[in-house]
Amino acid sequence: MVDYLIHMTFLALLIVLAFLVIEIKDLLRALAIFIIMSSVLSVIFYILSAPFIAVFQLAIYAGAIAVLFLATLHTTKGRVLSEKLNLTIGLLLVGMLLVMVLVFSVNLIDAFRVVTPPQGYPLEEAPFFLWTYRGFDIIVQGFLLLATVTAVTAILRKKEGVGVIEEAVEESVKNE
Amino acid sequence: MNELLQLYIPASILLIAMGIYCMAAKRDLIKIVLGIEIMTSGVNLNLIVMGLGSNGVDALAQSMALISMTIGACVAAVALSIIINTFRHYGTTDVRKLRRLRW
Repeated sequence: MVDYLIHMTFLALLIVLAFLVIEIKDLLRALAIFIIMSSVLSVIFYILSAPFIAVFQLAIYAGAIAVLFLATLHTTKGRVLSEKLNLTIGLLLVGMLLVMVLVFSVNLIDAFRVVTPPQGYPLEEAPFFLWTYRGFDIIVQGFLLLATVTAVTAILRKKEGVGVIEEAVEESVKNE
Repeated sequence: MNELLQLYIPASILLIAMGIYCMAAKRDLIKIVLGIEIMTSGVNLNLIVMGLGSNGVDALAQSMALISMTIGACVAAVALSIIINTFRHYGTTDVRKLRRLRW
């Protein structure tokens, strides 16, 4: 019953935070709440006995994607953190980290044994295990990341000269 | 176990619905990408919950959730770079003002 209540509390918190992310107009605040939402989802993954997914959720969503969003926000909106907002976000992050430490410190090592190779499996054969059973995943993810880097580089490359449409317009003006 | 499924599956569907609403109703491009990320989070939660068993979450479900996370991160990176490129050309991230055909 207590477990059920814990699950319910975290889920309710997740839904409320997702709603706030969508509805808050200030994008910087929405982003801060998105980070907290990702952390809450990470805690949910942890209490569902998926600690590796919890760690990846925390690293990718609350870390990498949040930084990408922040960089885009500063590039497009030119927003600079004000002192007051800075303090609020700082306090939120410290509170979030405390919650994470409290949750993750419970049976940390046992929890990470859930999805490791079966008991008695020699650790030196871990790379073999990884490449035999999870090789396809790793190759797919490698290709994905490579494709993303290529795409982002292509999109953000510096364009030189005028484009095709501008050239056509200039030519038509000259002809007239 | 069934109790947890009854709790988590509607919640993940709600998250996906909220993401779709955000993509459909909001006008700022950054907000739309945030909606995509919320939707991806709902999908990940659904994957993990569907793989939930008596001995923890199934390894295949975790693997799929991991791939989904990577795809989510890649989508976010490409979408944000497109947003920056759009901002360079149009000077705005409001979708209503992106109607001009001139690039």
